[in-house]
Amino acid sequence: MRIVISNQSELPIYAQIREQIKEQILNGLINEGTVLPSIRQLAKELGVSVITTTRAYNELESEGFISSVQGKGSIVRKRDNNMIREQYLKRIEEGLESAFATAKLIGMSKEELKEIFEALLQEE
Amino acid sequence: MNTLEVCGLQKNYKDFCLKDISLELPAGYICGYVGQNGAGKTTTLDLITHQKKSDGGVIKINGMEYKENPKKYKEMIGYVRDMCYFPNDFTLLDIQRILKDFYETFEEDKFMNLCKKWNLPEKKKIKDYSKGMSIRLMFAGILARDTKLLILDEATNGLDPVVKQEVLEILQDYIQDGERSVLFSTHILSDIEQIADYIFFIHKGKKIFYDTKEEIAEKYLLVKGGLEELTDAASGKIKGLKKTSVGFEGIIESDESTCLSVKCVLEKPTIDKIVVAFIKDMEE
Amino acid sequence: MMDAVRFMKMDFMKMKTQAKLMALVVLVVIAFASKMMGETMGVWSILYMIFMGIILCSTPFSIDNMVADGFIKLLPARARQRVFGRYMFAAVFLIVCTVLGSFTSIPYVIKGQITVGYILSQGVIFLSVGLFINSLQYVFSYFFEIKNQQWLSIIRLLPGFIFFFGGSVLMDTLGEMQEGTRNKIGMVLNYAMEHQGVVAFVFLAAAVVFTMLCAVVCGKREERKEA
Repeated sequence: MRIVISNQSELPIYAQIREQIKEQILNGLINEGTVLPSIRQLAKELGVSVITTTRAYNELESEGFISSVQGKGSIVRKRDNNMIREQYLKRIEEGLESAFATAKLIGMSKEELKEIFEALLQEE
Repeated sequence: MNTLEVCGLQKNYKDFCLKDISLELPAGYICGYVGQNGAGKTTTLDLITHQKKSDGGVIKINGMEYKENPKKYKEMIGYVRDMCYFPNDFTLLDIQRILKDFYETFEEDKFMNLCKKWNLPEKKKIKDYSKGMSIRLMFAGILARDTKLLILDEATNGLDPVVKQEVLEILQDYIQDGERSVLFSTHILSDIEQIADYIFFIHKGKKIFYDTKEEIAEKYLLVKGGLEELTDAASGKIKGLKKTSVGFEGIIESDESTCLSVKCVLEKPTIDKIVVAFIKDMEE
Repeated sequence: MMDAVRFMKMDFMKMKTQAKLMALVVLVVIAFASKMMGETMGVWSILYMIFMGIILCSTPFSIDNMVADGFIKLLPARARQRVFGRYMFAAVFLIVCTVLGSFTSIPYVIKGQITVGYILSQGVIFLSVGLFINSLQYVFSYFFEIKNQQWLSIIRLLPGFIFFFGGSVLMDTLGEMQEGTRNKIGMVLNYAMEHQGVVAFVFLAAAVVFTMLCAVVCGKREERKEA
């Protein structure tokens, strides 16, 4: 498992941890059934607070990526195709939202935006 | 189980008062107790360790008050500070003898192993110890026995970065089993910022806020912008506003950030900046 | 109570800086004593040793003063045990001083100038007075914290000097009074001289009771500071 925290990032630390673990699970770099380091162990290794790692793990659990078993720790769940699709859908939405926000900033019209979208689709 | 519970703590001095200090620190976490010099940090810790008598309030460590069992209460506490508190002419071996005599759970082997690991000289007198050596010795004395609450009073002041980092790792090790907690007072926030779970901010004897570091970090944003973006509405909402000839900077609550112009830069604030902004605001 | 013993042990450990000084004192006493003659000189050395003892008994206080807070007072024991331990330390220390002082009197016993009983009772009387003065010194130290190092070093010496010079003057005057056996004081003194054992016992009992009282009072004060 690879987790690298950036203090310069806009993303809060717990979110960085969450996303990086999520990414690796989605890409299959972390296999199902893997037992993740304990919350406290991870906090120590990353040099962050326990509450930070706790939050990251809690969110991963509520999104269905891991489940915590008493006595064993946090285990990576089976990759659910629906779950994966949902995650990617979310990413697509976020990307589009970001594009819309930028467009608004420079005062681009909806038609112009559509044109760019169509052009890009054509390239694919 | 809360390792430490403080409720309505009060202490009256001639020219300073500690008023209504309350906090709950659950087991397995680190709390940074922050504030300026003279804000009341050491006073609070002196009351918690019962070095001084409070004028009101309740203090419980692992659910137990001092008067219930003074010996057991003190056994649960490990205390480290910025000055070495061992008598000057004692040696490491002398201290080992005393600790063994007084503390039931003290383990000599553990103590000697830690001293060897940290290269602490056996026969040298305490007065000849460097700052780094003193703090390691104080820790050795604590880690070699069972404690529940580790209290640090400005313990990292004046330490070189290497030793400071070691101390932070010791603290994180200490809470690994989830049964013990750390209360760390400092006015140098960067020392505790990364690893603190909770932050208690005290100013002129009063609690300003006590929350998880996550919540505090989310609640506030650091806003920077040009002077044109500083509307009246905005300045009303910004704490610790600093204006220069080329712009401004300050802390604003995340919820209120909508009133700001999109040209402003919003950043994650360090706890440092938040605390300074609060202090600036209160002074005005 | 065990805690008090532990604190007493620690107070003795604090004396190790003074160990060299003590050795010097003992040598000086022996040197003087071997030069002096006469029966009063035989017990003079006890007086001198207790004098030094009283001064040295204040050492733990000055060492505690120099130590940063956070260790001694945080040792798991009740505050009054610290006080009891210190008083115990003083008692043991002064007894040791008395015994050391009385060794130099042995040559006089051998010479037949004084009896062992005389040394014993004189020693116990001096010890009792010394104990009494030291207990007062301790009460003063517990109730009045003097942070100024210079004042402290002067005040540390006072009780000892009062004991020594006061004791010497008293012995001389008593000696003179004894000469006039007609007057009442002289008769009381003669009685006392003949029943030195009784006097010694009474003095010791009074000193012990007084010391215990002081310890309790100081113990209560220390506890109130914390709890």
